[in-house]
This record gives sequence, structure tokens and C-alpha cells, in this order.
Amino acid sequence: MFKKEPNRLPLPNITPDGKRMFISLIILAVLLIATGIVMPSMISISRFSSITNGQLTVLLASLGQTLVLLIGGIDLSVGGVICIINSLAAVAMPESGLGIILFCLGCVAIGLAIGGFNGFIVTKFNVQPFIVTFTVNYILLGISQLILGRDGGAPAKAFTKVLMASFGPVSLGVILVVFIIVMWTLLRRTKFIRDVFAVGTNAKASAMNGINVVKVKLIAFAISGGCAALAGLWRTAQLGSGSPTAGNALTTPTLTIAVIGGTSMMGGIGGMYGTVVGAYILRIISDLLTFLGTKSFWSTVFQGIFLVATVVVCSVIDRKNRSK
Amino acid sequence: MADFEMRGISKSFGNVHALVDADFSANKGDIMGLLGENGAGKSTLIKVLAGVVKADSGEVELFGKPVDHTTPKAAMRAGIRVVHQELSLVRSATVAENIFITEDEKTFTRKTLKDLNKRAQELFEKIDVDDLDPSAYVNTLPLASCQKIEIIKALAFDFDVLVLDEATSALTEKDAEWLFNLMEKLAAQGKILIFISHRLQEVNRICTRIIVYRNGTDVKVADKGELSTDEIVTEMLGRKMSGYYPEKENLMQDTVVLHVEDIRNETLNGISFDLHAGEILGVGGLSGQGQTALFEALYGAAKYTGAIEVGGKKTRMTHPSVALANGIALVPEDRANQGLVLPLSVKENISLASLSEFVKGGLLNFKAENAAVDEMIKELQIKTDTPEVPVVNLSGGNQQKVVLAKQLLAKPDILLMYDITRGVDVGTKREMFNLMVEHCRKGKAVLFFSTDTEELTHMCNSVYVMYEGRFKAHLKDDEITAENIIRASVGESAV
Repeated sequence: MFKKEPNRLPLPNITPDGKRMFISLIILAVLLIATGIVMPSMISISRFSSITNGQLTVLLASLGQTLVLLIGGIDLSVGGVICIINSLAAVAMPESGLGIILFCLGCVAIGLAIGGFNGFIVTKFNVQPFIVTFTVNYILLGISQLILGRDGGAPAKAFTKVLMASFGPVSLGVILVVFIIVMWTLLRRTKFIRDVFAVGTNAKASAMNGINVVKVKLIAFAISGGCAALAGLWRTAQLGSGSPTAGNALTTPTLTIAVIGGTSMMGGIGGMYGTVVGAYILRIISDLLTFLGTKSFWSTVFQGIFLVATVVVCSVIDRKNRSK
Repeated sequence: MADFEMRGISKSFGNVHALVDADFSANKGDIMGLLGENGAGKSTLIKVLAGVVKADSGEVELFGKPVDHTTPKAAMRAGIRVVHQELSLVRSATVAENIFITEDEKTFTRKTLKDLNKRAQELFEKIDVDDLDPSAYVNTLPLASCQKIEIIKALAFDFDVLVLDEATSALTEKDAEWLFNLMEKLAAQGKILIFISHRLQEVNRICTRIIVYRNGTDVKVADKGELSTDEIVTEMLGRKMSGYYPEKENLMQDTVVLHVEDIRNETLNGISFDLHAGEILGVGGLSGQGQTALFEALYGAAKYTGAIEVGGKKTRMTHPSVALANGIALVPEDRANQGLVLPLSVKENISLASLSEFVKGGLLNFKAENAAVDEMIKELQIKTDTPEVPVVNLSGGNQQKVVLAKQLLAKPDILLMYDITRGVDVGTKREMFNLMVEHCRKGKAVLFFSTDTEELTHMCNSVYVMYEGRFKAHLKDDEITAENIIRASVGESAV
């Protein structure tokens, strides 16, 4: 029976994704303990700051990826967007303060436009997101090569300096991660995000309940493009140079991170807290493997195994939830 | 013993008993008419025979030997052919390829297309078909031809029993005539034919015997002409449990809240009606006569031409959000796929259609949302541990209540209710009926479709009966009887 004063959880819809995130937190804890044992010097705030700065590129892109996964789509063009923005920033960024700000806004606008284009093709012509974003990614890679022939170039000095700023041992990256968590907490309280979950779970029922499914999907894809553009900008500041192929190897990790963080590839389950945790998990795994002296390709093998294991565990949890 | 017998067939889907110890028998040369209301068990019986559904118990015998009907393939090998209502043609293949598609693959690969065309042409000559080209692609043909191909497909190989499940619904008159001649010819050759149709005239004309199903079992077998149309209708209807309906009262006012004029689309052939404040307007008829299309058009979920006026204002229903904004809410046919987002919580589902009401300064006001949700849960007595439980964990009746709660929270002036009592227990039914009356007492209106004629007679101010995409009858006051609804449902005129 329905109790008068139900014990409400602080977050809406914690049930399935809450459990999934719990798993990723446990994995993170285990990995941290392992790190603490084999290389205790790694456990420090400054080390955390540097890891955060390093992972923020892929994390930013993963946030958009997570949103697209939540609506039941997939965005394979995030790598291409990172390439374009990184190349552009390395060759065309002005030196003046106002110029830098306007340039960055322009980059985000480009990302939003590319994502919006993905969403438009997906919704208007009812094409599989996989195919649309996969092919758009090729276009983006080509354009990146046109902008920047080979690795090189340099962004404005002030741009790098500001983004790589540090407050004591705490880097700006860490502050941004905190900002991301706060933002997601707020966003969870908007109608848009609630609609995202509904659309990702059952688009037809959502439409029957008055939700504009096309709009929700379009916005999700656009935001993913915007997030990837931010990732491209961060990558530029972090490495101080451009590469037309910078994002190539980043698309798959965005999926890995989202899924390790508990977001379902089937849509409707997951969230950004998990994605943040997932980004750290991925990094710690590769650090641990490097420390243990394994060759770098082993890192990829383990990441893959890890991804499969997570997907299996989540799938088992889902089945249990359903059969209840 | 008869040549073909189905004995003691039972089949349950969860708590729903689709078939209860049902029998069916026929002899060589019989054209058996299988009759019954929606949910009487006709389709399930045929699906069991065709190997599509596995029966819980019972046996099937043909010429004294048990029939292997464990899979569709096995049933076909045993000489049973079924023409289902739904088309199952490969649309990108030719007519000839479709006709011989059931042939074993081994032999199929050796035949050239030309050979198939020749064989199809031979078959056409044998069964008097002269308006089909074997090499035509199915996706270039109209629906009526497709249904004809579906029938020819069943005749391509030797068989003993042929079942035609609503096979005439899409045929032209000429093709229907062709089919009846063919059926008589086949019967004369000693085949056993089973004919299911909602058109009583057709059944009376072609069938040599009829069998009536009701509540999952056979209730009457009769020879041709033994029963009048009235008697058949009475047998189909039977006597049903009643007594959980609220007392009928007239809450109808003169104000027209919904004016519908000449709505048409692929399924609807010109629907017009007025819905008044305080009125419960019933829509009856067998399922599949356009009720789904009508409700979806009114709710903005299907395309249409024609005019819809809500409260005197002309409104174009382009999307469910438009309907909701104009105070029209729908309790849809498919609860699991259209009404609810099953994995989401009770709370999230209840507030789904009215979420924007709870947005304050860009953020959702959880407190207001929770309060509203709690109130609906209490008002409709939805049984759930907490509002955070995923809806999928609730019982069918409670899930339906969540759909209702969601639509009521959107505070609609007009409730479109599509077969809301399907798979719902008696107690919940009573609560839903009371709710409908309370809704009308507030001067709001209900458009109520039900496959259960009893519900319509007890609840409605007047009833429209749908037949082939249009209103066949408009029953008022004393005319609203189960007999009249059933008669109009099968294309007869009301008394």
C-alpha cells in the first residue's frame, strides 16, 4: 500500500541508474585503493588536478555523448568536431581578450550547428543516428585536414594561460568538473531533461503524452556537438597546439566512459554523475597499467574487456529490475 | 466422428482465459461459419490450429489421425492452410514469388523465376483469376489485390482444411464474389472450409453450417437457415455479469464542447458528431472498424481531413500536445506502448502530460509535483508502495489507473477513453465508471469506446456504432440495447 510519507530519494528516478552508478563508484573505489597500494605517491590533490585537466577533453565530449545516448541515439561525430575545433583554434584564434571570447563562442556555435545538423537528418529523414553521425564524422575529418595540414599551430597565449590556471594545487579543470556536477543537479530538475528520459525510454508514448519528440532529439544532438566543441577548445589549451586528427581516438572513449558510468546504450537510463566517474575510472585504469609496465596496447585491451564487463553487469541488473 | 475435430482446446494468457475447453468440428464439404464477439476466442482458436499459438490442452484430429500443429510449418504439412487477416506478403517480391514462398527452400532455389511465373499462371487458370500478373511486384498493387494474393497463396499447395479469417474485409465486391464461387467449388471437391467474417450477410449466404463462440468456448452449432439473424446475435451476446455500473443519470447539457465534421483519412470515411458538456458519448462496433483512427485523429496522433471545433473554436489537431493544450486527453488503446513509459516511476508517469504546470523559474517544483501526484494516487486509489516505483511493477488495473491519473492531471475538458476496461478487474472497472460520471458532473465530457456492449448500454447518453470507417447507427435512449449495438456492428440495421 501507498504510505502517507514515502521516503523520497533526493534525486528523481534514482532506481535503475542509481544502482548502475553505485557500481561505477565501487569500481572507482577499488581502483583508487589499488593505486594507493601500488603507487601511493599518486594520491594527491595536485595529481588529481593534473589527471582532471588531462581527462577534461574526453569528459566534455562524453557529457554530450551521454545526453544523446539518453534519448536512445549515438553520436559518432564527437571526434570529428574535436578535430575541427582544435585545428581551427590552432590557426585562427585572435590574440585580444574579446577576440578570444568571441572566437570560443563561435566555436561552440559551430559545434551546436554540426550537432543540430545530425539531429535534423536523424529526425527529419528518420535515419539511424549511427549512420548519420558516422558519415558526418568523415566530412568533419576532411575539413579538419583542409584547415590544418599537419599537427602544429598555436592558440593565443592568454587562452592557454587562463584555462590552465591553478588555484594552489586546484586546477581550473577541477573547478569545471564541480561546475558540471552542480549544473547536472540543476538540469535534472528541468522539464527538458525529464523529457529526455521519457523520449529515450519510449518515444511513441512520449509523443502520445504531448512531448515534442523531434525537438527533444534535435536539442540533444545539438548539445552533443556543442560539448564536443568545448572539448576541442580544452584540448587546444591543454596541449597548446592543434592536430587535424586529435579527436580520432576520442569517440570510442566517450562511449566507454558513458557506459562505465551507468548510461544505457538503449536510451532512457543513465546520467552525468556516472559519466564524470567513468572518465576518472578510464584514466586510472590506464595509469595503473602503465605503472605495472604493460605495453600501451594492453591498456586498450583492458579498457575493452572492462567495457564488455560493465555492459554485461548493467544488463543483468536491468533484467532483474524488469522481472521484479 | 467428424472428419475434422478440435477437442477440449484451452488456452490462457496470464489470467485471461482466451479458450476454455472449446470444441470445433466439421466434415468434408462443409463451409463452417465461425462467429463470435471480440474476445470470444475465434482468433485464438485459429492461431492454435495454425501452430502460431500453443494450446495449454486439447487435441486436433483430421480424418481420425492427430494433427501435428506445433509450428506453422508443421500445420501446413498436415494440410492446414490459414489466410490471416493481417497481410504477410513480401512487398518487394513478385506475385509469383509470394505465392510459392511457402514451398520448401530446397526446391525453391532450383526454380527459375520464369518457371514460377508459369506455375502461377497455371494456378490462376485453375481458380479463375484473370486480373493478376504473376511477374508484377507486390508493392505496386492495391490492398484488395494483396488480400487476393494472400488467399491464392493458401491455394498453391494441396490442403484439406482452409481457414479464411476476415479474408473479405479488404476485397472488392467482384473479388468477394470470386472468392465465394471458389469456396463453393472447393467444398464440392471435399475440402473443409472455415470462414470467419464480421459480415453476417456473407456468413448467411455462403456457410453451410455455423458455430458460435462466446467467452472462449463454443455455445451453439446450427445448420444453414436454422437460426435467424436475431437468434445468432443473441447467441453471440449471451447473458453477461452486470451490476457494477453506476446508476444512469442524465448530466448532459446543451453546450457543444466538441464538434466534429466529416473527418476522413485512410481508415475513416466521413465521421461527424457533436459532443455535449456532461455527456458520455459511446462508440461501439467490432474492433478494427476505425475506432483507433478516430480517437487518434481527435488526439492529434493521426492525420485527417475535415474540421474539429473545440468549444466553438476551430482547431487543427497536428500533435498530441495541441490536443492537450485544448483540453483533450486520451486514454489510449495500447497502455504499455502509448499510454505509459513503463520503466519510469509512477510519479514521473502521472506528471508526464502536465509537467510544464510544475515549472517555476525554469526548474521543476518537486514539492508541487509530488503533492499533485500524491493526490491523484489517493483519489484513484492506485496501489503502489511509493510513487518512485517503476510503473512496470504495478498490476494491469493499477497501470491503467496511472494512465487515467496522468490524463486527469492534465485537467481535460474532454476525455477520450479507448477500451479502458480491457484486462482490468471488476473492482477497478467500477471505480473507472464512477470516475467517468464524476467527470461529467463537472460539466466535462467523455467519448467512450468499448468492445463490451454491456458497458456502452449502461454508461452512455447515446451510442454511435462504427462499421467500416463510418458511423453505421446512432442509438439514443431506449434504442441503446446490446442487441442493437451488435446488429449494427455486423452491418445490419438496428431495430
